[in-house]
Amino acid sequence: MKGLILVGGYGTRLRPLTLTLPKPLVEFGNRPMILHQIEALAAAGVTDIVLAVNYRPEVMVSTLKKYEEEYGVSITFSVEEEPLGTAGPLKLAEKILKKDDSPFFVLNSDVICDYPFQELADFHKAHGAAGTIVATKVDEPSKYGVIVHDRDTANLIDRFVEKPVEFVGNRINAGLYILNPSVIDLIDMKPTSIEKETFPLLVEQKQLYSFDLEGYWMDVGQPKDFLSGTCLYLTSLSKKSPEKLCNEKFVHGGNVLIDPTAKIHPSALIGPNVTIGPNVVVGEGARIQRSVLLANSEVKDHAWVKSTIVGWNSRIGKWARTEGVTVLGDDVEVKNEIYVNGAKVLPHKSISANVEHEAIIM
Amino acid sequence: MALKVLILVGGETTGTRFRPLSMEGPKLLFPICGKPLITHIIDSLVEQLSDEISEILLIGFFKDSSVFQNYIKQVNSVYPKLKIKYLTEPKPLGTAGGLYHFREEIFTSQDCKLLMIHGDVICDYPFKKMLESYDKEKSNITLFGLDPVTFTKKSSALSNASGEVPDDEFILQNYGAIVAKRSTSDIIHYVEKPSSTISMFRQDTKYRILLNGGIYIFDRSIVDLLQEAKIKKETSNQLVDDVDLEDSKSNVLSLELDVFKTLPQVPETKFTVYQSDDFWYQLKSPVSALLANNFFLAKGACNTSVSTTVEILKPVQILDSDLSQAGSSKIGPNVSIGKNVTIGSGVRLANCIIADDVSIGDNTIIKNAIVSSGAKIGKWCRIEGTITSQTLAENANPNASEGYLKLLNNIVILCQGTVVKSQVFVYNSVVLPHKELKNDIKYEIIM
Repeated sequence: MKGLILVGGYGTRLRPLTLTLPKPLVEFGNRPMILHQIEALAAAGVTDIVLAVNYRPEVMVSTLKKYEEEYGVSITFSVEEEPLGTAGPLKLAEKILKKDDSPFFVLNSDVICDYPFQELADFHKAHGAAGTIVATKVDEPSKYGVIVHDRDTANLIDRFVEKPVEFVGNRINAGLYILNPSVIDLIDMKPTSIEKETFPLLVEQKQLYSFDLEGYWMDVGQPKDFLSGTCLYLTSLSKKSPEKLCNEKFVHGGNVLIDPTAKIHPSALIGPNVTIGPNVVVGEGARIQRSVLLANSEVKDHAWVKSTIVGWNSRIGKWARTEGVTVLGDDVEVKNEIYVNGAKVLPHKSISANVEHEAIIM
Repeated sequence: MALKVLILVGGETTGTRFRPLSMEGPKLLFPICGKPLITHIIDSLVEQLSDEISEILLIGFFKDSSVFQNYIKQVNSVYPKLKIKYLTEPKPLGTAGGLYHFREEIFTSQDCKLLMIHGDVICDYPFKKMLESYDKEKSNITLFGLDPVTFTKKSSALSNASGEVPDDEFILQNYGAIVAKRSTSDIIHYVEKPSSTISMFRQDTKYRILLNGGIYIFDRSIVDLLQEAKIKKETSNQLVDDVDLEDSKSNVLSLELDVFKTLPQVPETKFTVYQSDDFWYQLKSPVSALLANNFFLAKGACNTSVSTTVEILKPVQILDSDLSQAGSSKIGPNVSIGKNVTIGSGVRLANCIIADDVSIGDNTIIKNAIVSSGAKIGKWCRIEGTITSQTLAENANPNASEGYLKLLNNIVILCQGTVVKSQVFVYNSVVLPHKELKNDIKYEIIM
């Protein structure tokens, strides 16, 4: 089987992290975001993976080479000369996606969930139509395009209602699909939206079904959601593989994932919902909650860190306090005793005065 | 020759700018560097003049005099031989009204000298030198005068100001201005809070202009001068024929407006100034309490005999408090800690007053704050004011009420019995007594 991952452009929404590393390589739950997807695709029997990208950074090529061997898959970059929307990349990758008659997966690279690719493929085969989209339930359907089903045929999509005023359902497109190669014939080689142009055609032909996603779902394309998504991921991990989580004495409230190379002072208090990457150092009496500490970062003694993404090689000083979805880029220093609230700090900066309100520190 | 000392302590209606700290008791009894400001004055008096002083009188108009009666008992337990007493003005009588009202009690003998000081004055208290100058000049009245230039420099130097300093013209407009000859100590002109009338003297190098520093030495002639001033005032009030005005103001006498202003024209009174070039300040707002704390810490002997695992950045004063649990803590500079305070491990304290019976949990940081007695602060709290040297220097103007409000926003004041739950952040806020804080507060006044 085959899979196409819509990676897209520069990941500007996740800056300042994506100023240092392409978004698919930014660690989510201590592993590059895209690795979660590659692993799940490989587990479902996918052998050919296409990455639809606007540009092809060298670091991504070399990293993914490694994964090709590790997971026994072939990874191809499909580079758009100009942005082709969400459907155009399918056409561009036609050669690979149409190399056999088997259906192919399509996924947005920002989406995290327990990828149900095997079940999805089975479901797709069972109904026999051209396409299946994964649907997730949301609390506020009025903000999304909502799926409305056919009255008689279970799971057959009747129409989409964009931002419904009245309640018509609470299932939305989760950004994961499985499609037959024939769908590509509906797409022209020009900027095209799969959601707004291709799917309505399939709906008209009664060829589009939906598959209900179990468990959590999150688009982690921006820092706030990256942190929320981490909480969901860790909660899921605590149920499915609790052995992967840390249960040392310094953990408070659970959901703490710590790389074995990290050094945590026993008097620190960590959790809930924290991931700590390789070679991170956490000092005496530090308090960390709802945060992501990327590789080689340091939280010094008595610091208090909440709702913060601490970028690679960054340092938070003694008795400093960070909160409010603060994101520190690569090699940022927060000086001792400083307060930082909601700042997005570009790489290699040093913060030596309080940041009281949401701000971008250039 | 007998020396009496008069300390003006004010009343409930004064010291409102010191709120909320004055809600717990008189401003002058608030602990600064481990003891009330008035105790700093009394200690200096005893140290310099114990042989000369026949009695210390505190004059104020607190309705409940028991606070000062109790205070006097404490003073007497330290100095059993010291004669000290509290006199209650029947109502607020102005800066000189109390002196006039109790004139017989004060000037018990003909050759009695009186040293009078506003209780909120903060300085090196060079009482002995001032008295020597008074005697040498054979003065009737000597004022404590400050060079406005050194005043601004010293007060901002203490606050580590690197930036602007308010100009001395601006400073002069908020104090009494003394114009004296450079060659002698004689005062030739006195203006209270001048606007521009003294600019002619400023151009002239024969004269020096000094600020009235709120410390005076008088002999009995002041009584006659006050008598005259009182008669003059009553006569003019009669002319106005305003019953209400007379009723409320008849006993009010201002040293500055009713006496000093007219003195240079009275040839039989020798009116001189003692010039000081040292630090001088007044305890007005809570911010000035921090500044005063820094001042006394800087000049005082610091007790820093704590365990080696606590890092101390001088100056720090720690009274009888338990720091046995305070490993990995870092304290200072400019911190005074009262009695019976418990401090957890990994605590950071800088530029703050921690009063008696306060407890501070592990890993908490407190900066630019005044924590009153009995406050309980949890773990991982952040109690932070963001006062800067700039704002402190601006505070040199005591009448800028707008500035005061701004300043209040730049420190944290936790009143008596405040409880701050763990992890809570208190930022540039004021918390009135006995409140419990469960959530972060920023730029708030919690009633």
